[in-house]
Amino acid sequence: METQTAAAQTYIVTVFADTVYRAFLFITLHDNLELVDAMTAPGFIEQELFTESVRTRWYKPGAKELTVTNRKIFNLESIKDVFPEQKAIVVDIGTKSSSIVSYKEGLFSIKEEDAGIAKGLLSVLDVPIIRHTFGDILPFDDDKAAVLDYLAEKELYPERYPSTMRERVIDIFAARTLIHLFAQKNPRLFSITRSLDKKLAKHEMGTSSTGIAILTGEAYLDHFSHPLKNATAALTAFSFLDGASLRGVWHVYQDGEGILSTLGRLRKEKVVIDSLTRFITQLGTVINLDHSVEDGKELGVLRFDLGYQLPQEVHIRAGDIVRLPFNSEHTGTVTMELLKDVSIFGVTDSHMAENVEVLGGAAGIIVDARKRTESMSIATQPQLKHWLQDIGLGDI
Amino acid sequence: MFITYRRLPQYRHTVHSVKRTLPQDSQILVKIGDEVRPEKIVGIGRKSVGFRRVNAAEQLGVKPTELKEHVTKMPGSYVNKDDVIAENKKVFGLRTAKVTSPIKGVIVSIDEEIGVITMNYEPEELKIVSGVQGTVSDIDPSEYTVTMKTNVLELTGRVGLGNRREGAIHLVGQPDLPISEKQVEASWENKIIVGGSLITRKVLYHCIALKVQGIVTGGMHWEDYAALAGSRGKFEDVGISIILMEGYGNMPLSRELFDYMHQYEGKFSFIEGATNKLVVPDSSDIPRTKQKSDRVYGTLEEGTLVKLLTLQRRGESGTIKELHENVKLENGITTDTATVVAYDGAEIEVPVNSLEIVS
Repeated sequence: METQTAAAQTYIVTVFADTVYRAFLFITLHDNLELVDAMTAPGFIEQELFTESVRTRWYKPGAKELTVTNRKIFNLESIKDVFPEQKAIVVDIGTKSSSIVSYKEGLFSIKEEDAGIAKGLLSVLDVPIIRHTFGDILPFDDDKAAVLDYLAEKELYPERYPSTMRERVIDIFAARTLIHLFAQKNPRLFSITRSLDKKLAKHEMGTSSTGIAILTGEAYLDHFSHPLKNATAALTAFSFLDGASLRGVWHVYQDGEGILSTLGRLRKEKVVIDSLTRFITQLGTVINLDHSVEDGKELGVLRFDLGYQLPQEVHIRAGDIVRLPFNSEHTGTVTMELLKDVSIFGVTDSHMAENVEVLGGAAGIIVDARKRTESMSIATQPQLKHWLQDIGLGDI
Repeated sequence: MFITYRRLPQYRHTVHSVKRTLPQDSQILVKIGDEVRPEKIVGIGRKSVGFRRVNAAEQLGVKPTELKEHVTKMPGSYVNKDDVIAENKKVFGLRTAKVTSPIKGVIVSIDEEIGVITMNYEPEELKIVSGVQGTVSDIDPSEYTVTMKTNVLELTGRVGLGNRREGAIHLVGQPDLPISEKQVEASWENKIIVGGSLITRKVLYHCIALKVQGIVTGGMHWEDYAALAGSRGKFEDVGISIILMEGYGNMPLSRELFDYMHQYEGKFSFIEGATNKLVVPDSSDIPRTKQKSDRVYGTLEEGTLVKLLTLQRRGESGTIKELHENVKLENGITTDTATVVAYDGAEIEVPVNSLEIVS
């Protein structure tokens, strides 16, 4: 009887996005998927030229060549089997267009906006709003006109990369604005529950409901480990929680390589992807407290059981955004002792006593204790400055 | 290979079709194939310059529904200023209330609901000149248009705003200094101004008041541009047409372009903000090109002259000193970078995608 030796299969997946082309070289062996190499090129060169250089570098007989031209479809493909029980969304903020893909219990929804961090960002907002968003709320005291000129120019040069951390921060804040737009138009997309009313949500949410969010697209590029990785990770998580005016508990991930849609493309080829988190960065957990308590008053205590001998106790005050720098090795639960009128999307501490799973990550665990109204506005400049100081980006 | 943006040529000599639109019922004075000079009159028409409304019922003291019984001139009638257009005899015909025409023109309607008579001013004669040296290539009698093929110099900017306008070119100031309010003078009326690195909204409004037809400059702050553009974007018209050759902000106009444009001082030209184009009819012997350059990228080498697209030094120019592959930037992005020597001698490392090749 012949014994079959499993052969390695090579996949070359090329992603043609509007302003950047990427290619990834994968190899599978015994159902193990490994990323071997990656290439990138600006989207202004001819597609054929990029394809040719990818083939020259990687192609071998037997290799399967796959392409992705519609990221959102394959973003959905990536999450629908991995997180079937949880509300999972992919927030893809591109340069010329953006999309939100949501999946829960077999139901999916895709929303698109013809705007990204380059094209259309400024034109979708009128001048007073943009002044407010980028002038009064950007966490710098720069010449506002210069920052707006820089942003507007991105429409003329959409493939331009941020050259400094400050430019990077501007990109992330542009993403926050786009998420805010999405959230205002489609609040249900960012809700863990079907109901947006916190009294009704309480019954629907149960004790262990957490949302999964993956942030991807050109706004969130982050290619490698670097000294400010945790700071940019925290800022990325913040752009999501602040832009979307989140409620509930969310586990947040960042696809800094732009690889997510390629994994979805491979799933279409029946390639087994055991875990998405091998390819994307775990940012951590965002816990959003619902209350209308005046700023400064203590709301209660959160006790995190993350494998240490004693639980980590954190006293939370109204108005704070607290970041606990637990890395991705820390996984556990949180219990709460909160004031009577403080809840997590309608669910109070007594209901939440056991099963709220929290993950650490590059950003850590973030507790947003800002006062919450039905239409929560995004953070103000003093809050942002404080936040940037806290994550080590105060001097950029 | 280090690839980045390459600036497309800002001007080219080419052949354009220039369409002149005449008022309805104009008389067209040229035929296809005619050679025309800029001052050649291609058509004569008449154009109404507005209308006036008179509340005649109120002046006569009658009900609006009764007005028709009192008018002395019917719609379509020509009237001179002070001609009686309606009257009402009172006290057994001994006293007569009269309404006279405030203008010389034509009565167009009598509104019995509100008692108002509407009159158009007498149309003025309008002579439409060719404006270009060229050949008549098309005439559309139903649309009253005459199209001429002509050799032109065509400038293409990065951003624009406004309708098509025409006027003589006038170069002002320096290419690397903003246009100031003090520079604006009465002689700019009906001209297309070329120069400067920036125009502000305040200076622009001053220009509009002076009936300046167009501005071709280096840049404008986005906030000013957006406030003018409104919801219609570049198709909005605020009474002046604008072309920003470089983009948003204080951006020096290319010295080479500015110097080149001096030979066109005083020349009649067309500006079209919505397409970012300035078209100058040009009868010189310079060879014409029909080809448009659409390749927006080029290869960087040591010594290449570039424009910086970074926040801190946006719009400044520099020279490539070194090129580096796969550099890990402190902001988390891995990319090819270039060391650029700026005009002040500073050496800056920037992603190659944040540069534009200018030569």
